[in-house]
Amino acid sequence: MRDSTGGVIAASTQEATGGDAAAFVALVEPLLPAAYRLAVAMLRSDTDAEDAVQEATLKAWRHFGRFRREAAMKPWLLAIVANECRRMRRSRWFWVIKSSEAIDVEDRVRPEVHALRADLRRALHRLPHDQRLVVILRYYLDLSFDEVAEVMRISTKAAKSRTYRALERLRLSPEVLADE
Amino acid sequence: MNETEIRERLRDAVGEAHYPSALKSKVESRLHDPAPPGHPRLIGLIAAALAVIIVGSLVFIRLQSSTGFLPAAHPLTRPSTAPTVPPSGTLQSIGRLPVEDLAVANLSQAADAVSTPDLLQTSSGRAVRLVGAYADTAGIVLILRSLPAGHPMVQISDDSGPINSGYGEANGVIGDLVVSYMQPPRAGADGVAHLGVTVSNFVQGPPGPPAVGSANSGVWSFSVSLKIQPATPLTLSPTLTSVGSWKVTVEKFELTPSVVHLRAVVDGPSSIDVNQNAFALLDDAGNPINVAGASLVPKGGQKSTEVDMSWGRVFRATTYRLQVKGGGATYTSGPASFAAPPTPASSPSAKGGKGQALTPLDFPAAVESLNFGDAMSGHISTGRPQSCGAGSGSSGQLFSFATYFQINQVWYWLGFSTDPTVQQYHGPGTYSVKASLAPVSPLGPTEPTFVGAALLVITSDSGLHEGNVNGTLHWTDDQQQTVTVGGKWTCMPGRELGPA
Repeated sequence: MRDSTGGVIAASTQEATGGDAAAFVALVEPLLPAAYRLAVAMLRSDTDAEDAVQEATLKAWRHFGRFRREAAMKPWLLAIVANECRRMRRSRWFWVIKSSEAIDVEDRVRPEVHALRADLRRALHRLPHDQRLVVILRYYLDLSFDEVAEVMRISTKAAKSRTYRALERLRLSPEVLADE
Repeated sequence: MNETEIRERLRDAVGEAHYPSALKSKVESRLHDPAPPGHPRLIGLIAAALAVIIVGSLVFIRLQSSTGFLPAAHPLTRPSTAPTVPPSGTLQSIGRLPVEDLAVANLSQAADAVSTPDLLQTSSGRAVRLVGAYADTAGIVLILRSLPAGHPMVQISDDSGPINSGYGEANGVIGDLVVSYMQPPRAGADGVAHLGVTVSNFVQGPPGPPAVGSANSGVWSFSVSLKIQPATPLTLSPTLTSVGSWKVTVEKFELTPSVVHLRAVVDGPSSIDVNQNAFALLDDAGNPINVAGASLVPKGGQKSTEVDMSWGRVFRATTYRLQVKGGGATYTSGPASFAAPPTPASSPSAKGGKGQALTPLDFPAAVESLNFGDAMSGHISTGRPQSCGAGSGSSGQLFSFATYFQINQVWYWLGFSTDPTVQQYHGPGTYSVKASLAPVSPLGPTEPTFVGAALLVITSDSGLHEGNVNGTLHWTDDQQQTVTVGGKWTCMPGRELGPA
């Protein structure tokens, strides 16, 4: 194991953990902030995000045997978290209005700022799951397009074009997407 | 906009995620105890089985089924444990616009043809949102949202220049203004109309000339691309070429998704002698159909008048006759039959099958005594509770109450819910709750337009649920605009709350 925050795990898989949950947690711990950040952005709820990360980590552990040892762990875990977020949004058996649009002090002073934020926030959450995910991965988690592509299991080119389409729908059309 | 700016805008909108230091230990616990308790799907099933109290409608389930996917897990007793508000992002435009807005725009049966750009602009302290837009060969409809209510000047242009026709206004739900133009837009090279909408001179109060200096100096500009909905040409038999001394040239007689539209030029009489009462569309019983819009403009000299009339389309199989009275004679076309238009799968009128939507009247009435103040003023003595009761979710025990109600003949939805992350529900008592107020779309509540906090007193949570509430909600586009609500609420949960 060399770099669990995104680099290649040289010697991971089962022998790294030996089926030991504590060892697995040690392996994924550096990734949890990114996983949590992704879940918060996708679900708009701190508590749901915690649930999503816990469930995703459990699933990751259960399926760790399938993890390719030459692959990077970060995109793999983020992909599981993203799937968990999608599943949670779909599987609600009830839906309680979440007042996650909390207004901070600055917004009270400058309601137009809040309005713009709320507008973009609403637009973001009206995007289809994949478009929302690509925007969050790229601009909220600062992943490279290669990493975005890996999380979403698509080509880098497809990741870029999906990002572009999502930004257009958000009316944040970029001049040029950074080429990496 | 470069990527750095995009990143900043997005982070600003989403906010910062504060990593909970306890998450690592929770993850460890979860791995050591991977048994079902934390599994959301099982939680849902167990909670549903135990949910003898949470009651609601079929709206979400039916909505989900109509939009092509079902939840991975849904309650065992789904009719009695229905959700209150569907998640945003799953609704088509039909679910985002209030029924009253669609009705005054003659678009109730064409809701899925209405675009929902949902664009917000703030200028001079006033927020104006363009929530809906529609165009066909008869005209353009815009739905604007702003509080306090008022009357702006609305100018539209397309790729070919300004659209100069007159326009009419009508009020929909609170804050919504439906603006109807009698001129269609012109399509751009890509076949789509590219509209520039400029709103200005917003005057509060009733329509009419504003007092000097009373108009808001703000200017709100929007850009929206619209498909121009096609029309079906209709045939007049016998051919209409003259009525008495009037020479009539019919340029268009057609059926759009929302109206029956006539455009004609009348030559002969003075324009003063040609008025809209000369033109009528009669239904199969010979009754005149309501005029949706009329524009009579002198063309060239004083002896030529361009007539543009539209009538609200009747959505049932019927026959129509066009009647023109003038020049000392009357023309009446032969009965033209029009089949009832096909009902879109997502249409709320498609009752009785999969995808059917419920209306507030599908829920039993209950006694309520709630007073509303500030932006929404009035008192209600009855409501149509949509859901109420306690239940458990992934964050613990909660209680919620939601009801449809009508004020000034307009339907709204009001919901209260405890926040289990702040306080677990533990039975009757007083709770700080989240409050939401939303207009009602053909598919159920839209996204809330007012949100806030309230004190919810629950005096009984078995049998007849009842209590009191007192709270203040803020307009989502402008925190200065508020609605207060207070009084007594009741709700009788059970299967009978929703339709069988």
